[in-house]
Amino acid sequence: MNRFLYIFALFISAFTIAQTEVKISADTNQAFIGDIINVNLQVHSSEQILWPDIEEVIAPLEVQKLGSIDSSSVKRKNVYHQNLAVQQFDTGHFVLPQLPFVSLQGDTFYSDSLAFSFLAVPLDTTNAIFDIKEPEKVPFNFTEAKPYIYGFIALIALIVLLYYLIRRFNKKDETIEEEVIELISCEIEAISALNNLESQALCENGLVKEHYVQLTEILRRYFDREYEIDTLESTTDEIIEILSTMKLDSVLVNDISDLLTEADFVKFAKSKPDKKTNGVFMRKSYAIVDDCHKMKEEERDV
Amino acid sequence: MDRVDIEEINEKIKEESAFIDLLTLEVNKVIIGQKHMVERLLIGLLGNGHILLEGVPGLAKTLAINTLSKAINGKFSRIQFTPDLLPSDVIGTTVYNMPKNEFSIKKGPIFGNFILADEINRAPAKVQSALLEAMQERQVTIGDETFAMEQPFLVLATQNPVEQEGTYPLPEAQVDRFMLKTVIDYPKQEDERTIMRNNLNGQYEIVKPVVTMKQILKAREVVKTVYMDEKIENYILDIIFATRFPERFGLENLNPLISFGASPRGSINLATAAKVYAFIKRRGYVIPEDVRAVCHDVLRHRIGITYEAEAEDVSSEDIINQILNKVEVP
Repeated sequence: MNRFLYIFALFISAFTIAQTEVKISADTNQAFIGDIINVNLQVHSSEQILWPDIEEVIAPLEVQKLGSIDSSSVKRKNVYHQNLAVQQFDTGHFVLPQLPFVSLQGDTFYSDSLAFSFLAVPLDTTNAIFDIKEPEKVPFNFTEAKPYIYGFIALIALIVLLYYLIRRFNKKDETIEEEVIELISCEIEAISALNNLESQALCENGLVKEHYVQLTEILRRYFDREYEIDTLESTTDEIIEILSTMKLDSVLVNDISDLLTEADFVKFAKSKPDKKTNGVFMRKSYAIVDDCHKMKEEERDV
Repeated sequence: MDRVDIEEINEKIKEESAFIDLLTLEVNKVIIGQKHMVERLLIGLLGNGHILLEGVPGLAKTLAINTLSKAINGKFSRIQFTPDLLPSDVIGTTVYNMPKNEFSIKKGPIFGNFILADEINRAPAKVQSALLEAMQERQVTIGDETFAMEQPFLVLATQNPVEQEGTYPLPEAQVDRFMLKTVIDYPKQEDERTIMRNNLNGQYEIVKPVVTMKQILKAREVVKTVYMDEKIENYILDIIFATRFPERFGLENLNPLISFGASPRGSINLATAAKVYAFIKRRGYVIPEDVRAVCHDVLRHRIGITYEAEAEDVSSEDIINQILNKVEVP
């Protein structure tokens, strides 16, 4: 009888002890350094349990992620549940020690200990060093780039506008002058200017110097256009020298020389030729333009 | 002034310029193939200006002024400028006269009619300054006495363009005091043959005085009467202003090449030189050709060129050419 009593007492005590049960499990017990091992803790108890400070207890393992403690009630028993992720940055064997759970009655229940092996990452020294990860590409964002694009377009437009305005202002006078000149041929322009000068009758009004200034200017401008020489910036001697090399008739060159020399005399030495001389030089001017143009035309035809 | 006046001037010039042919002939007996230099010497002499001659050694610079001096029967002095030359070596100094127990003045070589300042850039600034001051003021002060220079007083300074080591380049302000800067080139082959033959045969012509100082001074007065029309004055001013403000004459490209343009002394000397040139050509009035003929010699030392111009190998000569080709002739 006593024997049955002992067996019953043992059974009852075993049943009473089994009221709190601690389970611990890991998804693996072997990993490379830096890899994560997921650990699952479960406590089944009819009593309230004091949960240990896991981060302090499991050193030197490092807690990478610590989940919250969930609790549920199954068949009048409380089930406490927590997930945690641990990792290690040294190679070797490490032990997750027994975790102590204390009941309100002061009893302590321990989990099992777990052993983990952390292995070194094998290095392939045959290959060149490469980035573990590629730099992350930031996707193009049109909204962000919009102000810069609009600014660039505005700058280009401004430069083009300024360039156009500068060119327009610089060339304004030239274009007008060129257009007029291009329309009238040089000999017509010269003859027309001579007619205009004659009609002004400057000599008759005592403006002999002004008459010769205008006369020489007409002829020099004509030579400038007809022979494309810079007569306006040349002296009489230089003009005659250039014209002498242009297959012009020597008599014609002498006439030009006489006229320009006489004009120089009037312009720079206060000479006042008589009415007859003025008339002669005026007629010579028409003849010079006419002859020069004819010779140029013949030259072009040849 | 009307035509009669001009004819009067022409007549006067014919009379007073007769010595020019004689003088030129006499100088050309000895100086061969340097017509340009001789003509410029005459311009300096008749324009009461001084001349800076630049040319390599052996181009008869010294001989030219010596010959001119002999042909005019003037007093010639040569001063060889060296680094150890002192201002007193040029202008003179006071020396102690023991028997009289007083200081007496010893005049320097600058007291002459024709002074050759040979290699002027070899002497330090204070000596150059002493000479140039005498040139400008036409008087020299020694101790407490001031002496006016004898007339005519023509300084011909020379510079060697190739040896620049150990020289003291003339400052712009002092170069400006020279009426003309003439660059002398080698004689033509034919002329050099004559020079060589004359030297080998020992044929040295003797230069005789053909002109008097009085004639020179009289001619200077006639030069002043040469007529210069307002149009020529404007032409001269246009050229001078083109050196200062090239952009006004459509020469914007010259702006970065010119550091400073010609001074008012440039326009005065250009006008004077043009008048003398007209006189030498026996004309009583100035024409644009006269201005252009002397323009390079009057302006080449008065236009400052920038480092950019030097880097691009553009000389003041090129700048003057561009200006003359752009400024409208009256």
